[in-house]
Amino acid sequence: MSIGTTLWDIVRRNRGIIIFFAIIGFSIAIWSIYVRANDDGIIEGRVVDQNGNGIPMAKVLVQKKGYDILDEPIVTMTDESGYFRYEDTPMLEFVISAEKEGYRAEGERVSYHRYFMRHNYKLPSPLQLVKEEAQ
Amino acid sequence: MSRWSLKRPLWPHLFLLPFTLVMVIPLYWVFKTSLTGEILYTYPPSLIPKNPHLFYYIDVYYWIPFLRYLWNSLFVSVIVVVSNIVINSMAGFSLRHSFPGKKLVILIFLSCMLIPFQTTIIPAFLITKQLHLIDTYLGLAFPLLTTIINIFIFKSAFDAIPKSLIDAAKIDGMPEWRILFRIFLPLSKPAIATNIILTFLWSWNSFIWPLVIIRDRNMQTLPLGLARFLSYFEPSSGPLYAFTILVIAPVIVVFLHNQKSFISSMISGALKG
Amino acid sequence: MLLKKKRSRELLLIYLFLLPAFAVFMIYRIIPLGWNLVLSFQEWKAVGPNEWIGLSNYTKMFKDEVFWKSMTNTVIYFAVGSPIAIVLAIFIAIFVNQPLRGRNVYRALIFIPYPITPIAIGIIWQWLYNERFGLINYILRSIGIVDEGIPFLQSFQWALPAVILTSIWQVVGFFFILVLTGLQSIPSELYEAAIIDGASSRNRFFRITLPLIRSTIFICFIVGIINSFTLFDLIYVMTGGGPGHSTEILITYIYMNAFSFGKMGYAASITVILFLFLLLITYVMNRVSGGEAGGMEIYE
Repeated sequence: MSIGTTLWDIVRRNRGIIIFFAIIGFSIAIWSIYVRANDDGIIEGRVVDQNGNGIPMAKVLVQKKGYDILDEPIVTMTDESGYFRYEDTPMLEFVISAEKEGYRAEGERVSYHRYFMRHNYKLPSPLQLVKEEAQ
Repeated sequence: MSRWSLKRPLWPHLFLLPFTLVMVIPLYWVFKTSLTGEILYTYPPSLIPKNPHLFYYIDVYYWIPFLRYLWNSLFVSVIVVVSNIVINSMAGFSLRHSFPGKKLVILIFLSCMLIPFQTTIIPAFLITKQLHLIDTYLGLAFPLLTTIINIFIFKSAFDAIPKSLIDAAKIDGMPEWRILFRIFLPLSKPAIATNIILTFLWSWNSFIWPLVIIRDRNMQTLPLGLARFLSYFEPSSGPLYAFTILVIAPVIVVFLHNQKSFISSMISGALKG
Repeated sequence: MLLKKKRSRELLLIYLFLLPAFAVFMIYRIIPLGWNLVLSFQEWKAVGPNEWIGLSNYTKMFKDEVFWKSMTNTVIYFAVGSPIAIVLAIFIAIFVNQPLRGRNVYRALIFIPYPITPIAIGIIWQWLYNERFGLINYILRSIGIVDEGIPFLQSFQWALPAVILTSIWQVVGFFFILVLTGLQSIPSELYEAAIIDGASSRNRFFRITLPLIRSTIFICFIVGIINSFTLFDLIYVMTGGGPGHSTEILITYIYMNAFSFGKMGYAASITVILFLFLLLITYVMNRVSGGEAGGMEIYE
């Protein structure tokens, strides 16, 4: 009985476990590739009013949510159609809100949790602002 | 003629079902909470997880060096298991033969069994400190490198090997140590399995020893990391339960897969003790 | 001549093979035992040599309220916790011993809590006992037994029973397996003969079953002793010895004195007492179940 045949015997008998670990290893590899491809730290979204129109030049603030000391919020502005985009935001979980003169925010601030740090995230629903009645 | 006659009684199920549920429900509940974080947001609690998500598991990955803890536990346990098999089979081998002082040796081993580990932690800590093994893998593994119960498990298994086999090998001119390898060990597979399972569990679940000698955060084992998690972060947090599930899931999976050998190993471990 | 040389070589090998095990036991069992004793007569100094203070650690201990509380709690665990678990295990094992469907499923599920890390079990049950969010209080409230939640782990009278209950939950699976194995080794002819003789099931249980699993019960007690050390993990996580030392047991008090307060000499003296206590229990259990169960086999 050579070493080769005994080793092959062990492999054959433990097929199940080996396949299991192979699948896990493979999944980890695939996941790592996905992460590498999508970790630019982008957050994209839109600010709309109660009629669904984009609000230009609104100030968007994003901030890390967590148990640590709060960092400074990162600010960006929306473009003419109300879209905004952040680059290179590292936080895993964040709170995002928008504000503009003459508008008020409805409801609570929304928070989102990413799958990994710097995960490129597109907000599933736009940030809502309600236009205040002219005085 | 009723099918449910004495052949397969139904009434035990009446008692067993609730009892088994009591055994299992806490585990299920923690699993469910790790997926939804219900304790923090909804009340009354619900049976099926609503809006399950994996975010708590992701938090665990980022908040603590989980993989590092896993590696620590795994590495130390592997060292302990391998060393146990080697040292214990050697000792069991010796005990299979007769030699002057054998009774004394057995007596000493038996009396060591009466010394529970926790009555020795203070001096063990001091000794480990003297040997500069604090915060090291060897320091973690050292007290567990061999256990008396396992030595006797090997001894019983070796005793069952007929002397004729040994004599035949000797006549063939086999050197002693090869006898151990070629004859004793292959014939004692159950004993090896028992050794592996018992030792692995003791090492994996050991808490007080790592607690005493590990100061460096990166050298913590899983149970220690889990306990420390409570002090670093708020007690009722979702990630805590995700971490808990990550710690207990491997044991449960391995157990369910190898029930038979698991259970028989623990039984023989207890019987020899 | 040759035979003698071979024999002495063989002897050398035998002693050599015993050496590693011996070394580990020497370093981590025997020497610590002695050192512990020595330490108990000293006062530990962080810098410089220790001071010999004779028996004053022990006298201090006997006047120490917390020590006596720890002692009491430890005794309660052994006197109450283990027996309840064993009785429960016997009960369940008898049920599972019937020819049932899904026997193995029950066996697996009931055993599952045992191999799980006690730390994890402590965390799980700590949450179950939670006053506001815990499942147990929720059930109690739904049934209507209480109006507001009982703060189990924070109350003086409930903390210890709660921790002991958790320990029972964990260990009953193992006792159950042991008893089940013991039950299965009883030949059924005994029962059949008893039934023919007209013995009632109560008689069958007390006259046949119980005596024959006596050694199993003894083993359960021994396992209970070993398992009592996992109480350290449970208490560390669930209550930390509180509230007000109501869940302090000897081993947690030892740990606190040695590693939180740095009073190693004092902790060593408590350890000596713990050791003697455990020896006493083992001896008592031995006598109660009639002799050295299984120990004789080791002597070839």
